Amino acid sequence: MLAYIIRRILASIPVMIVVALFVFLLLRLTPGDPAAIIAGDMATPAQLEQIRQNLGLNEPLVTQFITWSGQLLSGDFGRSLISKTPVLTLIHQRLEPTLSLAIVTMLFTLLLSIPMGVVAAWRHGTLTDSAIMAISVLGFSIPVFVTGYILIQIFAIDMRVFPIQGFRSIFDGFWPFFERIVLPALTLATIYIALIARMTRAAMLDVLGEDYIRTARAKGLSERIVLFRHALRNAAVPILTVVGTGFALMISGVVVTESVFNLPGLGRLTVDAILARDYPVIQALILLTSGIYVVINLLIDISYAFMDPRIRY
Amino acid sequence: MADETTTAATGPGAKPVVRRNLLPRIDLASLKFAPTLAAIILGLIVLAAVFAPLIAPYDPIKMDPMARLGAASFAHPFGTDGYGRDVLSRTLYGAQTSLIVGLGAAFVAVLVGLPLGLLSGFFRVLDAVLMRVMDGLMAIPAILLAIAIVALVGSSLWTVLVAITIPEIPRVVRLVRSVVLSAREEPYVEAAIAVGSSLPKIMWRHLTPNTIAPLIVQATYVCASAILTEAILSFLGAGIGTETPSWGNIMSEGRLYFQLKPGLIFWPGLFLSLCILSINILGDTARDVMDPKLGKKRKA
Amino acid sequence: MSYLPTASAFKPSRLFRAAMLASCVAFAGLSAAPVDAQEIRAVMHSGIRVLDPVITTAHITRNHGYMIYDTLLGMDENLKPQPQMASWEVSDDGLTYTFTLRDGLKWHDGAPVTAKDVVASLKRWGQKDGGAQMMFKSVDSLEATDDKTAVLKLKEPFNYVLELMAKPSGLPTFIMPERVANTPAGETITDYTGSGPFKFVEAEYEPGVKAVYEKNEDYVPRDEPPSWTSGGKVVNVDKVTWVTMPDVQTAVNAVNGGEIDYLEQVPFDLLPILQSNPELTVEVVSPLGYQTMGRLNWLNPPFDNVKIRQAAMLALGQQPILAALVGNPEYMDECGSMYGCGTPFATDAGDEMIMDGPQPEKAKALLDEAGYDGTPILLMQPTDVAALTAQPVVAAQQLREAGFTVDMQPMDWQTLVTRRASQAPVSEGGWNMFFTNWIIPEVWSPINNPMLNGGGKEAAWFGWPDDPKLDELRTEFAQATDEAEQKRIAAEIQKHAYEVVNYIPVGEYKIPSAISTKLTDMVKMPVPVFWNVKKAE
Repeated sequence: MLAYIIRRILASIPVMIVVALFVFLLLRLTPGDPAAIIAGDMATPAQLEQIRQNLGLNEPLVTQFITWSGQLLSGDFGRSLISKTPVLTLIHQRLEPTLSLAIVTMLFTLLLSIPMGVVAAWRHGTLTDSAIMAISVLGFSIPVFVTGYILIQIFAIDMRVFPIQGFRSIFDGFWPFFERIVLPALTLATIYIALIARMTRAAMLDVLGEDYIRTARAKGLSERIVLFRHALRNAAVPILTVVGTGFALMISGVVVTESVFNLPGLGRLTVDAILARDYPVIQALILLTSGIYVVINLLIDISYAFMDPRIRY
Repeated sequence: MADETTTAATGPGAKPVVRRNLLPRIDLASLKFAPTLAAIILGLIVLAAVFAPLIAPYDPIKMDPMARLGAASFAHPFGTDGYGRDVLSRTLYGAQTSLIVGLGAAFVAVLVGLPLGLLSGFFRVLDAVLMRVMDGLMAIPAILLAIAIVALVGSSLWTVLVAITIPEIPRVVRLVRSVVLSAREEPYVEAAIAVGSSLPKIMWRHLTPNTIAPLIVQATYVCASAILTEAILSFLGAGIGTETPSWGNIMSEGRLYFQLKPGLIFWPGLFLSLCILSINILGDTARDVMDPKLGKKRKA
Repeated sequence: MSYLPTASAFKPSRLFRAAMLASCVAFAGLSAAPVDAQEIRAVMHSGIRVLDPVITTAHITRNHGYMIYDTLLGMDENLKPQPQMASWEVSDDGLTYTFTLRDGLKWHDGAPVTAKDVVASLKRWGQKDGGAQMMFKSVDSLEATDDKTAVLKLKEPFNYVLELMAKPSGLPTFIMPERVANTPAGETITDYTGSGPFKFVEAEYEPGVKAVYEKNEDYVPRDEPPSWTSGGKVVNVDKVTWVTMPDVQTAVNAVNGGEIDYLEQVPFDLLPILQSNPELTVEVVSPLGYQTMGRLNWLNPPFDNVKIRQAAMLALGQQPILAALVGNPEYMDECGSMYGCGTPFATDAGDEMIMDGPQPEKAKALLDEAGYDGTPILLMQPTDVAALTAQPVVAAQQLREAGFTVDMQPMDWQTLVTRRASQAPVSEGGWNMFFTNWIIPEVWSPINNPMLNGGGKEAAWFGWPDDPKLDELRTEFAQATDEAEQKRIAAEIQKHAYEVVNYIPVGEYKIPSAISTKLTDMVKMPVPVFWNVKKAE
């Protein structure tokens, strides 16, 4: 197992290099000029040229790539072209809101969706099943920003239970943190609840048809133990896959939630950087996200082996 | 479906039986009520999309800024938007765009993802390479691809479709692969390998059927998520242009009027929700019909 | 909200509501951090990411400049230059300007402001500001003669020196320490030491999220009452925080719920929500609004033909474009003056073509006459800037009604600003038309107005009109000595610019701000500033 993990980590290095190269080329081939965004509306061609020169954007692509990779290897992610802030500072400023949102969202999602999926599978074909599935699908058939606006309207404006927007660190106290993260996390969870409840139901249905479930029931085990200990464990592989890949969705889903609730997170940083062609920031962020995916996918693959003894590495 | 009750009732666990009696036993699947309704709704939406040019009362991009944000009226049953365009006509035309985006993304993602997932699950060597590429692909946000592609080749329905589909492919590949990883160890697959069945045959006959159930769920999800991603791209200003109405960009443009003219979000939203709900119900039904294990259970 | 089952179905019991509220109050009581009573929380029109008010003309960076820097001169509400950091004397021949710094000026690090700082800052400004570049062509020398005195010598008459140094937009004359001002003009500064009424709190700065300014206790304001950027800049609050809110709906909700004190730009369609709130004042802070305009590319067909440019102008009409952009008649005005209406040089010379529009029939006739062959107009539409999305959409329809073929290309603003810099043919990444907006002080004279430059491919603004006559008239304007003469030339310039279709003004609008009633005495001017304003608790 350890050898496998080491092999995987080593194997991910070329992935990161490919991603880095791909993103670097994609960015430079996409029309866009950071100098124009710095200079504003009145700049003359000569002034733009001067700024471009200064940012090193006139160097040949190969030179730029080598410079950037060299800096990376020495642990330097560079500075934002636009604000001149070190990229690592920017990421550091934005990491906590995004992590908080992702974790709270996943907690909400798992707490709601797995029981929903299990019950729906157990009651397969009944009104309960249909109702659970309909509710979960309804959650993701509404664009995130609409869900967000509706939740804000009800809980923040009409009932005044939670603030409308903003973020506080959990280190400033639990309630100020929680009251601000609750609505965004619920908003984002609606997408994942649908996905994971459905996947749980589907996987459980597969497993419930198996002989060993009938055996377990025949042994007189209580239905709860049969469902949650025997069936759910065996249904875990596809569920885990979806949970893991769901994190990938967070980047596109999270930026809207961050905007609607004004959370200063990585999603917004990414979109702002893309719209401003702030190359060093985008490159660092994509490397970071691809690193996170690699780790998550590794964790998923490892957990397969624990969940399903038939899979060996 | 009655068999299921029998199976459970003959088992020693008496509790479920008691509980089941407390719940109304309306068996929707056997009544075929929900799937029929879903098929009708989806059919109507498809018809609306196909025949939008004939049934839409107005040109969807014909504007009248002097009559903007009009309330629902006989002339404009859904009202008018911020440019004074007819929301009903835009919603009908929007069905075209949104269906192409949703179904297109699901179709392409499965078409590309299924074979890659099969191969990846079956061959260890290929798996190592392919999955790392997929890991990398997933790390690139759709918004970046959308902006890059739009900036490179111009904005259109097709560029947005490509940008939305690419990040979906790795998810399909991972799912198929995870199923194959399990199924490959099944005795019948090992037996098939042992007797020297041809590779395409093993893949098609023994492995693919296992993937169909989760794949249908995933495909309906991809379909829904593609329609919604298009809305998100519009929200971020990287979606399909306003001259090609889609449910996503109508809602995204209408979001400013959320409190004042909720109809701008409600009508396209209603079509969108009904469409996604129907696709999912049909997906579930198809899944139940095709799933070999459920069939086994019914026969038991 | 009746259409939302979730909303209407959710009717919590009174008890539940009371319990929720009670627990919230309790928690709020526990968690209430010692809030700074004198903090203004403001949502500006955009996030601030560039902190160098000379390298960029972005309004948010200019606003930042007015927080932490002082300007050499100020401009009062009658648009007259007034002393701010310095007073001045002009020699009788009008060629020598002597600026004398007032007492008490100190950098945020405690060092005194000297004339050397002024000279270095003006020189950097002179490389960047369009009007200043024109001025420096007539400058013989600019030197510090002692710690308090800077002398500007001209080699030929240029009668717009003080106006340029006092103007509140484009690039104002922010004075920086010499070491900072020596940064090359193409490089962004990284030292944010100013001498203005606020200090920049660098440690709390998060680009794209928030910027924090604290009161500069050592600032010595002038004695005169504030009027625009002149007069005393007395700071009455401890701290100003600019919060960026990417979603305007959220910002409106936040100001409505009292979570912020000031929202610089309220979307017109959401005004009814805020106007009914007794804790908010909704008003236009800037007496001069914005000019929105379309620009044609003179290099590419079909707009290389003056008749077809005229046809495009005839095809457009201000009213429908303003209606789609603004909607609320209270905040929009048709205006044919390229210098903005209500400004010293405002004139209606030659504006019939746009003011009588849309005139599709006349446009069609002109197109036929010019032999328009249906070449599509590539019209760029920015999708991520709310103030710029509507104009091209309406214009596309108006142009089509006049017989033009229009290819409207949606794109993000950054792609647009890159593409508009391309002088290539349309098929190779060029363009035909786009729209943008200016605040009136950026266009209010033939010297400030960036479009009124006929320098062609090398020197003109995007669209590149090659128009020597325009440049001659502009030089004539700069050298004119009396106001009546300047006005006459300005009118002539505009008439000519309309004839050749230099650009197409499509109207003016003003943007209302939402201000908490706790804030009083805000200075009303084209730049939102935070001196003089008081906050009640």
